[in-house]
Amino acid sequence: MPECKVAFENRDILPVLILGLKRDLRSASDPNGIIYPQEAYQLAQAMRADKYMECSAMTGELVKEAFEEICFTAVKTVKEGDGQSQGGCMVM
Amino acid sequence: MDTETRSITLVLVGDAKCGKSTFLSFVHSPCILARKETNWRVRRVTSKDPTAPIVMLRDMDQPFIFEVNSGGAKYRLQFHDTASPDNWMLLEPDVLVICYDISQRLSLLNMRRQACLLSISLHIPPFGRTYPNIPSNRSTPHSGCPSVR
Repeated sequence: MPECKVAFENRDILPVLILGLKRDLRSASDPNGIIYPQEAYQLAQAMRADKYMECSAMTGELVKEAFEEICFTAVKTVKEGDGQSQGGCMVM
Repeated sequence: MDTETRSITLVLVGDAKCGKSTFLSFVHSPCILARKETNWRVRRVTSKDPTAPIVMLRDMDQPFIFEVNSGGAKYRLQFHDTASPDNWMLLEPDVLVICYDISQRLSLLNMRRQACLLSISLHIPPFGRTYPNIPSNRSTPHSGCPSVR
């Protein structure tokens, strides 16, 4: 079955990127506590993600950089084997 | 020089309303604005033009295609924008982008849950849990689930 092939293909070369959105809404008045980049980055590392990025589409802050990182990783998947980072999670 | 266009599939996963579509629309908007298509507007605040709106991409137009040039080669990036955690694997992604909303702690927790699902489907042990008899290529530096304060 083609679905089985898809589901059980060699998936450990899949690059995983973490993207934090609405960066402009990180506010001190959040009742649940602010999510600092350090905390999210730690989680990204624990998930063994390849990259951690943040941006805000409302203000346009870091959107270009984040998109470039995504493109860069995507191009690497076809160019040089896989787009995974060499151990550890990179910060944009 | 390689002139053929290669297709790369990217999948965005994450909570509903966490801004995935807005992110893609922001990147995409200059091209669409040129076409003068306007159906749903979000105000964009940039230093250049504070009133320029983002034209939202429509879900039915998926996958969103971006053409990228790199080192003389052309690449076709196909973005799938999905909230479903179950069947994105069937889209056969080359790159997975997990999104979360910085202002919502719940979406960060959901991302963690997403990661647990992912580690099952990638056949790697979930956070720190090692199976003694199965050799794993991936290192497990953390012991136990990371606590979220």
